[in-house]
Amino acid sequence: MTRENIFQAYLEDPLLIEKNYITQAKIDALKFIDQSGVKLIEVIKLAINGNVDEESEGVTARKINQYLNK
Amino acid sequence: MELLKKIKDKAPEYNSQHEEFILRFTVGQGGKAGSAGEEATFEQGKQFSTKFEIFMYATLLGLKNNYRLPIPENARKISFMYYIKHWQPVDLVDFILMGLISKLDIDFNELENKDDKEIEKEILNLRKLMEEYANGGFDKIRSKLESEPSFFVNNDNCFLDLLEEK
Amino acid sequence: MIIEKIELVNFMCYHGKDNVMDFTEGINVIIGDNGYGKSKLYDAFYWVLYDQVFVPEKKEFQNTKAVKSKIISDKAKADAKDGKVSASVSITFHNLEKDNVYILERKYTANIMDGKIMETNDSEFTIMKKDLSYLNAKMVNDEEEKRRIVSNILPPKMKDYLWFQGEQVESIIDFNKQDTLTKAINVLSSITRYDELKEIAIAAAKSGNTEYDREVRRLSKDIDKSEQLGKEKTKLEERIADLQKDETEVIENLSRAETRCETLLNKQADAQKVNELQERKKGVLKLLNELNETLKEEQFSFHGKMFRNKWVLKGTESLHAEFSNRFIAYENKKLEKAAETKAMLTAESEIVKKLQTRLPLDVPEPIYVQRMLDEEKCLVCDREAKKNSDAWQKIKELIDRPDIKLKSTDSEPIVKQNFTDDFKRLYQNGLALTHRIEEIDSDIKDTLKKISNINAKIRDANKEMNKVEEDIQKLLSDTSLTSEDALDILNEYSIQNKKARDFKDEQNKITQQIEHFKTGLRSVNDQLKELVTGEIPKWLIEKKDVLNDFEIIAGNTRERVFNNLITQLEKEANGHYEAMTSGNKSARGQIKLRRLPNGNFMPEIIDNNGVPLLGSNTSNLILVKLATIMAIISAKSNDGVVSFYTLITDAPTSVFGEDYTIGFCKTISKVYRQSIIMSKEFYKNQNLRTELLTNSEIKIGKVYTITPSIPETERSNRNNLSTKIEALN
Repeated sequence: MTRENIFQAYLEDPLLIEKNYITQAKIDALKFIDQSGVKLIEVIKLAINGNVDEESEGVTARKINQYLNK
Repeated sequence: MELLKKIKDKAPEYNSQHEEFILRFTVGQGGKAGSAGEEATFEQGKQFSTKFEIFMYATLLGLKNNYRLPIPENARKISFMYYIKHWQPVDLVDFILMGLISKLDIDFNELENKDDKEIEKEILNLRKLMEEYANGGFDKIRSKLESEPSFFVNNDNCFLDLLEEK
Repeated sequence: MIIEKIELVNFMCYHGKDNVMDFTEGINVIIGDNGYGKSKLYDAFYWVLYDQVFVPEKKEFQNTKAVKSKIISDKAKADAKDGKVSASVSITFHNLEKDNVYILERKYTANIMDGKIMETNDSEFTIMKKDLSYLNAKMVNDEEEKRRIVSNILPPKMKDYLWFQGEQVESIIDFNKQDTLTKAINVLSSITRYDELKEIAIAAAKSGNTEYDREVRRLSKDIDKSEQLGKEKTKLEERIADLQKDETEVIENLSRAETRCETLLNKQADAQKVNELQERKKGVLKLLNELNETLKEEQFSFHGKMFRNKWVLKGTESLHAEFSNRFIAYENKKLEKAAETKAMLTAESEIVKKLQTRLPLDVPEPIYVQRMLDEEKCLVCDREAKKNSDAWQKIKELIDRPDIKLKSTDSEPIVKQNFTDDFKRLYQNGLALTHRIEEIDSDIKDTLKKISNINAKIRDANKEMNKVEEDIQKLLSDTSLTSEDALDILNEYSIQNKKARDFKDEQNKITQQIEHFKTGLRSVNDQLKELVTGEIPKWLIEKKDVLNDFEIIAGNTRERVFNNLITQLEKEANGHYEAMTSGNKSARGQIKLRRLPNGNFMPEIIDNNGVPLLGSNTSNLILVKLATIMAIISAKSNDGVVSFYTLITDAPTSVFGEDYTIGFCKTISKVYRQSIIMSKEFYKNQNLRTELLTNSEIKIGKVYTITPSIPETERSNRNNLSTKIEALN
């Protein structure tokens, strides 16, 4: 299971479009390495990275927090 | 005087040398009294319920093959406890007697001209004839037993098959 | 990573050094009957990697420490002089991708002093690593690296699904445990990642919410009220959390009760089936008894018919013909005589008649007639009648008349006996019986036919009896049901059913309560918002929303991925199941992974209409389990082929029928790049063995037979026991 695989599984969630985070067209083209410009999606990537890199839950949560403190 | 009645008031004898296989194929107990049922016969693996049955069979076998064998003078003979009139079934008994009477060396009309004493002699002749044909039949069974003992083993039809053998 | 070779030296029944087997890709098969050393070979693999062997008496794997010198061949121990005696197994693994080779060897040594064995506790384990670019192998000394290599060859969490004995299949997928499949999926899939991500999302959302709440309180115009509302909020949240815990528990209980109901329902159906079969058995038994009775009667009467149906007369037609000739001759002679007599009688009666026309008899009375004769004169007409004259003669006739009549009767020829009736009776009896003789042959034929018909019916009934008996036994053993159980099942079912309904009610109640408190919570949040003076920073609101959405998405994604996994598993498992059962055309159903209320899944077999197949037999269940295990492993890879790990299994084929063996081998050789199977099926059945070696659909590796030097039954003394290995290809 690569980061990309996990990421794509998340992108399948209908909530992303329902709540107007992103459009389907953009999702279709989106890769893990791309900058989406969507905060929620970037948060997801942070979480995936943290998990795959075997960071502790607290560390990852803090990273996410920091990212959103702008 | 009634000829058949007189004949049936007799009981034939047979050579005791056949007794062994007669017992082998005949229900012992009850067989003598003639009371063994078909079930008992079958369950004991025997082919005949009574000795007179196997005797009748042997007589017919002798008659059929025209094989008559006198019982040697010095042979020990066994006599039936029951007169022919007690044998069953009657029509078969009559058939056998019919067969035997035709083998009698005397004209029927002449027979009627004989007096009681002479008739009695003829009846004894007839009984002897019966014994000789039966002895012939028994001899056939004996020789079959000797030449092919397996013929009688596990073969429900053996005595039926024997009838067909020449 | 494929296994290239195994070498056994004095390991259990494998005495000596010549026990070497090479393996290739595809399905490698080791053939041997029961007690031939298949399990010991499996042990050898297991021992090298895990320092354990399977102890049949204990039904568990035990360490070398516990088994000690039992590992060493009895023959080796018996032959050994004072000094050392040891058993060792080495396995060569080849990583084809990286082109390097690992040789794993385990060795157990005991000392012998004065003929006595001095056992040691531990085995030695060495790993040699050889990059193919180098000529020589290098020993791996670092324990950590050794562990890593072993774990790489066969990850501990996967070993149950890759290396297993036939009997273990039962417990790997235990249909009585709800989470058995979930556990397997957790172990073999990446689903745990999604669980972990969900946890991260929950934690992140929580901290975001806390931060937001803090800001809300800070901006409050009524600090006290906010404080109070904050406390109320915490209480509500705690309450909701508690209720959610309760809810989870109730759902667990509900799942359990429903599963129990399901099981009972199946059992109930099984019990009913058992009853039906038992009824059928009774019916067949009755029929069989009747048939046997009829046969007995037929056989009894067969003998009786010799006399009753006169079969004994077969071929005696000539007897009646002979008698008939003599009887006819006799009758004719008798008739001739009768005719003569009749003619005489006729003549005489003419005379009498004439007389009778003159005067009636004794008229005049004889004394007067005598006087007339004496006086030579008719006293009626008073005319003369001289003696011997015509007239005198006429008068005399009147007296002689009775004599004339007497003479005619007396003149009939006299015979001493009359046997006509007897002869006639014999003739008629003979005639009747002779007609019967003509029918004897067909009568005998009919009777024999009847008997053979009855015998055929008895054979059929017996066959059916055996089948019913077999079905009952199968059902009883499959369901481990006794007749008493069957009675209890209905009662327990209604109890469990009520329980399930109660749990459902409770769950609804809790859900409503949670909803109620959530409404309260929303209202508290609204009140808190109303107390806010000024503006909550936009970024904070956004942060809170993003994190809450992340939490929702993480939860949903986990569910979605898991459900997809289940769907894929189900598809994959059905593919394997169908392939394995293709040899047997009988109805086998389809594997369905059914979702339980608590989110676990249970495998079951359903028919085309989606109805669960009840009372499925053991072999089908084993195949379902095998198919599920294979699916779990193969679904992990992108192309459905398990290429990195070798499947090693001892005799799972013996659990299902021979019909399935070839299907199993085909499937195994397609799913696993390499497998090593120990089987007795190919030992007994030569056709099966030929098919294994020649079937183009089976990717066959190496095939060996193993044969012990002493049969198992004669092994009271194992000091001469060795095992011969022969390659078949």
